[in-house]
Amino acid sequence: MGNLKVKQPSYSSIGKSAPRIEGEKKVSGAALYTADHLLPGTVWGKVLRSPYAHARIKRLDTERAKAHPGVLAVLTAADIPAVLTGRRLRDMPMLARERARFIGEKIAVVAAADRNVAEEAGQLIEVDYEELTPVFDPLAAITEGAPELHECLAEYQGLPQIGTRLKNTYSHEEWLLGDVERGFRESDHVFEDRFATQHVHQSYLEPHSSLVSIEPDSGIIHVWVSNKVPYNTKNSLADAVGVPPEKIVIHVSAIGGDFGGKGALMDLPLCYFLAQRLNRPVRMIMTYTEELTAANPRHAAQILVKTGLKKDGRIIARQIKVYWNGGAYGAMKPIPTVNLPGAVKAAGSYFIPNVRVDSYAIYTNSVPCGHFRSPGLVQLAFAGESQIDMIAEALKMDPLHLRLRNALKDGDPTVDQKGMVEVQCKEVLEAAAAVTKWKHFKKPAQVGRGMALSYRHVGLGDANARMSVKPDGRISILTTYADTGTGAHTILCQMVAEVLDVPFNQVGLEVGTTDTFRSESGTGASRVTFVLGQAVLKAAAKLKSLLCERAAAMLGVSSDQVILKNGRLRVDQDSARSLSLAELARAATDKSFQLEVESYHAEHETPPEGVFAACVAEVHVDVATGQVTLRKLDTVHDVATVLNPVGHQGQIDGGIMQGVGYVLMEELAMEDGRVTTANFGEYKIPNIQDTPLLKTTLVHSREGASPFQSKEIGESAISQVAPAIANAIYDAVGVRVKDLPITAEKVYRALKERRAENQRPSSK
Amino acid sequence: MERKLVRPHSMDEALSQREQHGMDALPIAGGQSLLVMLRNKLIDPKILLDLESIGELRGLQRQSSGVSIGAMTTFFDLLSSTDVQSAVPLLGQAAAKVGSTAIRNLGTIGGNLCHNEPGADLPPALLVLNASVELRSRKATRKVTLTEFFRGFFETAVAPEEILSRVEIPILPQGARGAYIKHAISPEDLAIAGVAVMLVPDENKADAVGELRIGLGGVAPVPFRAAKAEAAVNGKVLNDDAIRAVAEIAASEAEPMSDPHASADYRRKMIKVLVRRAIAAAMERAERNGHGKA
Amino acid sequence: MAKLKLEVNGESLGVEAAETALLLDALREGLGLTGTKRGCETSHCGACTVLLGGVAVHSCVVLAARCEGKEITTVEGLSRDGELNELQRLFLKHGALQCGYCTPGMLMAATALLRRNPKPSLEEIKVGLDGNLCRCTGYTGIFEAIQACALSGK
Repeated sequence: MGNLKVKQPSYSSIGKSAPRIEGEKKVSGAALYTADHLLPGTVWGKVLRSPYAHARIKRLDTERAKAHPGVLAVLTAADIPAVLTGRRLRDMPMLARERARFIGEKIAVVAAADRNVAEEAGQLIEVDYEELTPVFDPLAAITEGAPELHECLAEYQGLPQIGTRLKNTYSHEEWLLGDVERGFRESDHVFEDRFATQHVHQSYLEPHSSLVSIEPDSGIIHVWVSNKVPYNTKNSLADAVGVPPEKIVIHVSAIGGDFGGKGALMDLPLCYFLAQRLNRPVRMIMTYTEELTAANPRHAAQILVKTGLKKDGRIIARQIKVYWNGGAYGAMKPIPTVNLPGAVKAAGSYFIPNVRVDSYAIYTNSVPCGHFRSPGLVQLAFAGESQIDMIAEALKMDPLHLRLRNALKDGDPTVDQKGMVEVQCKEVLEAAAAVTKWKHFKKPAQVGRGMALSYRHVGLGDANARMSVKPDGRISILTTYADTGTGAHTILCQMVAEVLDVPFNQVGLEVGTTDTFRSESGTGASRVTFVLGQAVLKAAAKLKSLLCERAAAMLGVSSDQVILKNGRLRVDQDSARSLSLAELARAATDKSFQLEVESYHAEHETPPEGVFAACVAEVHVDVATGQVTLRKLDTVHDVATVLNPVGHQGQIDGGIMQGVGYVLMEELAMEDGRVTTANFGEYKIPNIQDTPLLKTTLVHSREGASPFQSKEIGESAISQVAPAIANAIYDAVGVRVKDLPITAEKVYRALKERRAENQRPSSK
Repeated sequence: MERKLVRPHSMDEALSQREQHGMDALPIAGGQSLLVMLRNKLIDPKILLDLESIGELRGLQRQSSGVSIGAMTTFFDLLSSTDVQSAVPLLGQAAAKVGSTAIRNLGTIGGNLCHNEPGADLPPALLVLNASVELRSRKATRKVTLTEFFRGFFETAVAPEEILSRVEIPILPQGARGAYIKHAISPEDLAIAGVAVMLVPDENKADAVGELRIGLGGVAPVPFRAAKAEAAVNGKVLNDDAIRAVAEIAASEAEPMSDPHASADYRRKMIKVLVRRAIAAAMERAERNGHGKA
Repeated sequence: MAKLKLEVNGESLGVEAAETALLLDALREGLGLTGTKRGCETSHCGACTVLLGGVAVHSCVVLAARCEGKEITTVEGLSRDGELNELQRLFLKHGALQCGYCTPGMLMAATALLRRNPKPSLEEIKVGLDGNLCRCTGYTGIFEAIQACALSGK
């Protein structure tokens, strides 16, 4: 119980807080993000967007705009192919054709050398709209009377096949375990609750940027774009604009934050069309208002949770229905079911023999939504873990005990796994209780504590890696996976340093272009360490064999007599005869002696591993204003080998603060489909003054599915924060807020209501 | 046509520009709010009139009659000035809560007042300090109380030919002490509700209030003094009941608006809480510092 | 258009810019100094922070023309002959950066803070960096790096 400390093998590079390999560039301003590439003659592209949530476009006249001094081009749907785009479901036009379906939908694009001119000219475009009835609530959108937002749904490429389709519903995923109806019949207690969550924006500091430059003779289309899946984007772009994909090369730049939000085409096709028309490079940078109103935020949701228990606190049935407000288009979602991957874990970190999850992705006339760190699960964990505490209260159980009673163990089935191994659920819970002295907490007035639990898994996909030895003896990894800030590139270098037994600073990493390899999944979904890591290890193994072989040839021994140790290739048992990597590399002067290898790795099946994390939040509530102050946040994480402690901690801290913002302050507030919090002054993300004391506890186990027995961290350190804080607020002052964010005003009102209730004659 | 930047070196030059062009020559002080409005295309003046090189707009002087502050005095100047700290510390406290460090380095008192955004921190404090502003045109110089200065939502009394040149704060009565409390999502955000109070003891009766000044921000189209609440308590003893009553009246004088962060109703309720807390804070200050000026 | 002479990182540089051009644009597109980042462009995020006369300013709300005759320091001016300074080194050591986009602004704000107040308390560090948003790090690594820098006295 508690901190299960397992003796770690001793590593030379793995487990050390190696400094970020791209760090020097980042702290000296030399790292190049998309907007930092300055090409001579570049012009700006600016988009005109729909002011209506749902409207027919009756007339579009660009003459005045075209005539404005300094305007180089104006494009509307009439000027570009009628191709629909999307990461899976292709339902989104590049420029609205006849119909606008959300406030912010792109209507036209203007190019000018001066950015202000391009913006002004947009206002000169004359558009006649005929307003249509909009629908904003997903629960309203599925009713008979709702306007049909996509009459041609059945024709869309990438539409997932589902049974009965509700109105305006493009995806319905369902997961079943056991018989949930029977489970409820056999329950002694049944609880049904409804929760609502809001739209939030990833708020990466770098807004979406694109730069396209077409080589005049060859017609090669050079692209720089803040997008972390370059091969997918290349292919999508090729399809969208009608050019062969081999004509496009995407140069992978530094990316200023992603969190799931930088995988779609965004402005790129328009950037291309302008560049093609003008024979000049074109750049487009979304303003932050455009980001907040028209990018691809986290889905808002209506969530129904029904849970059945036996008297002794065993949960025997759980049914979740989640209605995702998908917005006007499904184009931003990357998984084949065009649904949210977190829905599969809606039932929570518990063994429940009967489960049913229905996850609906629904069209509404608001901003199209996409992925954001642990998509779907952040919302569902808020609902599920809040309800666990509500149930504990009703059953007069300690919420810790209710969770422990039902915690997943090795071999327990879930809707998607026959049983997981090395499950640390109970251990994480017990460590959280121990480290926070949960049972002995003496509550000061208006202070409370709450806990929550969730788990994640690694992602699937494929990756390529190339590895070589440079003339100076340094090992170089070539990848086309972007490091969006996670520290992935550094970890890859650590892995190579470890297996090839060279000093860490002798390993470097280069980032290629989409010409480097044929294709691969790209960054995201917590797949990088797991999938690319294995590709890199494969390459390292291949390189090691090759090096030993070449060294053997040069030293006149057989390859099995050569070992690679401390950066040198030496004859086993005869250390006097050795070669440095540099010597070997210098000897490789002709083409037949290339010290380069390539590898590929794919993972198609999710390993039976769950990565658990718990959070205990301590809050103070000012009952006069409802203001919630975070005093302390303890998180406990299920880990095995921690590849880079500082990097690992950074992922935890960052995820937690995103969770804090999610529960207490962030909201893309909407009024009739219009985002009213349209700049960083209005849309509040946590700033340095909002940071409470963060305390991390790691619970170590032996095995992890990822290289060197490591476990996922990037997306497992967020979902437990919101419910822990919601539960802490209840513990402090006895009010339960079930819709996010939990603002001071909502707490204030809930307190008032409770006082009013207490004063009413009791209606037992 | 490209926007022009005109950079006068004297008030005379600047005022000539205003006389000639009116609102088409928009004075730019620190630029921290104005340049954002420009970026968002909320304003589009032909000329930006740069006030940076005009010496007469700078300088903070503590005189026997009070404190005189040049319009181009920055928030940072205010919060670090020993004159402000000794004579009108409430102003420094409010200035410390504005925006962020970088914004405080460049943003000015004149710019902040002329921008008149609801929820701004300086106005409630200046209101209870009985501040007035000097507005100059080529033809005349006039003084306007702050209450008269704030006309409407983002609107002030500055005429198209005028420039706000100085902020004048009269000397505080003996024993006056003040406090500024704001309710916001984060400490340096625009206030959902902001309350400044100045408590002046009665010269003759030890525990009675000679004068209670209450300034409210973020709860009406303009920052204002809760005159009715003030009148209800002047000359009386400030016990719990009196404080509660004052807070109620002050709340009733507000005309709050709803926005994504707070409803009008909540803002009104918060006034009650903040007025009580601000009065308590001001009273506590006296207990700690004896009869020092607030 | 106007021809401006700007003192950037100790060098006198000429740049052509519109009369009311912003310092951010003059530095980036005008002078090719892209270390200073374009973030929200509405003074909230701090990615564009530079030093003007040694104090932190958000270059997206500063007129370039006003900067003539004043010392401008950008992130490119922190290293000396390609050597990182102590603050930069400590940022790397304490995990004060991940994607790195807020980093130039953070470094400049921290530099200004330490100049004004060489031994800041944690509270003072938080106030000094109150205009710089970070989405990746959760801030803890950032203020640890600054505390370490203050302790080192360099």
